[in-house]
Amino acid sequence: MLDTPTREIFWQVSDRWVFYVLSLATMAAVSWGLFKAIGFVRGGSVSSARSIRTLGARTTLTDILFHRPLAGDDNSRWWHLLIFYGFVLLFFVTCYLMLAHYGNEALFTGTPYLLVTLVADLAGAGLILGVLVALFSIRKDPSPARDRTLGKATVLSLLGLVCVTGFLVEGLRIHVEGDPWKVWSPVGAVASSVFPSFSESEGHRLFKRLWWLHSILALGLLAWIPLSARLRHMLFLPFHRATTPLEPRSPAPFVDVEALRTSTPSPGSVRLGIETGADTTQKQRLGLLACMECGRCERLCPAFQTGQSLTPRKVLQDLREYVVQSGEGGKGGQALSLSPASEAITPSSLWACRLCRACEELCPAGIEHVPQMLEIRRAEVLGHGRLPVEGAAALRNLIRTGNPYGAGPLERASWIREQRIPDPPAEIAGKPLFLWTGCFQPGDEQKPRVLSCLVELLKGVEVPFFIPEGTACCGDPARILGEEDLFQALAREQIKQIEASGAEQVLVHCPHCYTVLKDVYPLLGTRFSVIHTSELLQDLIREKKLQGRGFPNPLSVVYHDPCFLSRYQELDDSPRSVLEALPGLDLREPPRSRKEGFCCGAGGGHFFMDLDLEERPSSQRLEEMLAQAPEVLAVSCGFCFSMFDDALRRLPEPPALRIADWLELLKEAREK
Amino acid sequence: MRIAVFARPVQNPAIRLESGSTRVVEELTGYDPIPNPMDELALEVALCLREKASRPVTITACSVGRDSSRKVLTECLACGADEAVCIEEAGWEPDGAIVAVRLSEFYRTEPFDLGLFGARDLDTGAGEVGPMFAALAGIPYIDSVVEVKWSGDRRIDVTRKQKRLREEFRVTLPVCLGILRGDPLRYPSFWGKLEADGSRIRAVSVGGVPMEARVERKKFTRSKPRRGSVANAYAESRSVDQMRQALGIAGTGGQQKQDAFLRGDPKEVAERILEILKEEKVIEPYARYTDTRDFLAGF
Repeated sequence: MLDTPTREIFWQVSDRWVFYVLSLATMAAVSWGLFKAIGFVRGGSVSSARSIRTLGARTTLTDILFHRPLAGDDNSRWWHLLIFYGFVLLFFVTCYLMLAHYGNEALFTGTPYLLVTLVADLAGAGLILGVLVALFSIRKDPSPARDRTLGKATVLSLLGLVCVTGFLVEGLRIHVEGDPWKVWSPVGAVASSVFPSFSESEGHRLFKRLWWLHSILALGLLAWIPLSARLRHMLFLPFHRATTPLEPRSPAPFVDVEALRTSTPSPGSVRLGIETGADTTQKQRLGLLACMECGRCERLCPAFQTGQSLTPRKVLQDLREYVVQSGEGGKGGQALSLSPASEAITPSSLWACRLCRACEELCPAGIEHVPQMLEIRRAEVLGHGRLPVEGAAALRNLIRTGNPYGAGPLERASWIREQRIPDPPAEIAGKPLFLWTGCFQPGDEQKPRVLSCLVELLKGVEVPFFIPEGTACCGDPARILGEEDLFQALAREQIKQIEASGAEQVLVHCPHCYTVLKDVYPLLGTRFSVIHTSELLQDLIREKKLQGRGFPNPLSVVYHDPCFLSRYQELDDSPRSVLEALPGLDLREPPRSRKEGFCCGAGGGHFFMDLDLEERPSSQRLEEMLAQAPEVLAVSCGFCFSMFDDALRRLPEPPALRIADWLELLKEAREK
Repeated sequence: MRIAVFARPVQNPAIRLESGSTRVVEELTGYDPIPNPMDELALEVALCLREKASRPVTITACSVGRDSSRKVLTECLACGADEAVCIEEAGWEPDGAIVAVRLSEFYRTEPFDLGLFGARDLDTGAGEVGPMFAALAGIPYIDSVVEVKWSGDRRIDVTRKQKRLREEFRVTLPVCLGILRGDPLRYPSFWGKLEADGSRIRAVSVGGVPMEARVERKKFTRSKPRRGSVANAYAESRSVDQMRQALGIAGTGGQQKQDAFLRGDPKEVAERILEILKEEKVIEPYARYTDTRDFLAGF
């Protein structure tokens, strides 16, 4: 028995050369996998030059160390932290052992030995615990995706098996050798008690078998890392996350249609969107490798949650498969059309997407699903003119009248005249606020009513503003339906109108218009800034320029976050702070709110495409809102209003609930 | 094989066309031409037939007129027509008879196998050019067609429907069809739009007898068409979508009218129903009913 705490690293292991050969083969397999993966990424096109700030290495490291993207998630943060730290520590311990064995044996003697042994035991125990919790949580997973469950269970089981065999090896060594420092290997010591008494030679023979089993499983696991979708995220997720754009989220890669028109292109010579796997960008491909198929993207997906054919996770899987099939390293070769051939990327799933970014919000890898979906839509619409008939009707309306409903300018013009907006004072006449009204829908009373409230509020606080008659639709319906050509034509026309007016700031209420004017118009070159009504009114309330008398009787209100305001623009606080400032208003939160709110179902052009659905996202969301027993459902978007209004009418016994824009509540509070 | 689709420009219902004393509608304030929606259906029928044909098919979009016709033909080219022919007519806006004569003159020089018309014109509610052309050209004309499919090399199966009457025909080409219902016209691709520049429109001057002196529009004024007619749907539309829906052609889903539940005091509900009926022009908007019996007496 040794006096100094240590142990022989390759105790009882003969034929070490077999182990070395297996190790080299593992390294070769990992290198080959990495080489293929790098080729896969490099085969993608380079994204259009757009200087965007990214999360960066430091934030990514902190996110990974603390698993911040999983914060608020049920228990996956904790079990993944156990597995993550268990795996990382065991990996470093193994490297340390190699260093000690081939370098300085003193590194594995005395206190360092005891500490390394303890760390390895605790890490292994943590990993097994994490695996057990994860396996248990799979059982509770309501997702019907069987393939995902099976794949996840296989990987977890292998991880657990490597640790269990490791502890059995350690336990058997303690059992046979009688380790006096076994207190530093607590789990190994417990494992040693499971073995019955046998002769030393029998113990050695069993040890060898267990050691080889453990080594082969561990090396096999390592070799599998670059090949398994569930394991390779540990290699690619950090790089993908570090290059993920900071908020606000980036729109789809920019295609300069005007430049394209002048360059006389031909079909296939230019990239209009993602038509085949080969059309993906390097960043998108890195994202396809970073995806661990965890399925979080499905949890808030309005299409998936209401039983439509879209599965964001499967879309990524299929896209990855198509990139691989599109040629060696995905550099081209055989061009596979996505939509007719793929199982997940079908026309119905493509058009079921609401572009609400709920999938992106929950994705721990920071994968941008929405720009990919938009690019596939672009390829369909620009390349082939394929889209649902109602969507095509909206686009034709935009071409013919500059309005997605096909309405002429009369309605909007008469509304503007009715507002009797005073001319701005002479001293600021050059810089009044440009009030963007957006499109008017014939027969719709809600939008003019809300805009009239805004006009009255602005008049009341003497904020100088004007509404020009000439503007049309911001183009967002065309953009989200993939008609980038029409969008850019409309956008350039609107930019010309705004800049000709001399306005330096545009005030917008519609979250869709706001997002397009603020984030997409600058790609076409703009000089004006854009402000949302909630930002302006919040400031006016803070400065005590705008105050409401409040409601004499308490009014319970539940606020629904529009995706384009909360997720796209991170403006979930400002409308709430306006509402909270109104005396007598009892603001209640639905279970899924703010950035993790549930879409009303109108996004992605669905307001124009009235699909015949058995279950509607708006109905599901309305149910959640009604559970808060509100008197008023406050919205911030005309599309949300219409969707909930429709969902309310569909209820067999509609409750006494009023749907109102928060601006209407603010105006009412001032009048009471 | 050649399919000709006749496309006529009509005024965009969303844009108000001001009344005026001019012989040329294009000179009126607010004139904004769009393709006649039923001509769009006819083009889609042609595109579907081309896709399913066993032999090469050329689709020729034709229009008689000037700049507005060219605009409409450009849209036809963008959507997939192989060629576009603008039959130029000097002078003022040609009436239906002149258009039919010019088309028949064009048919004599460049014959086609299948002529497709929209069964009705959006603005006038008439569908006169197709039958007149067929009579002049000496080929059969089937109106109110809802379905067309190939049944052989030069034969087609045609279904027409009017109110409760449904007829099926097997027709040997050449023939002319007036398309009443069908799939909406496909959306043009970026490549289609790029290729559809004005230079691809072939200007044809068929000559023939000068006819402009026979029919002359003296004045254009808006009038209220007969309720339930196509022209009425056009006149009462405030948007292209409303017009499409009135004609039974797919529009955007968003603004489709929802069922309304009226609750509350019976008297208030009755008053609201009255308002809705006035808004919908089911009863005269200016009528003043003081009593429910007066209101019911109106029916």
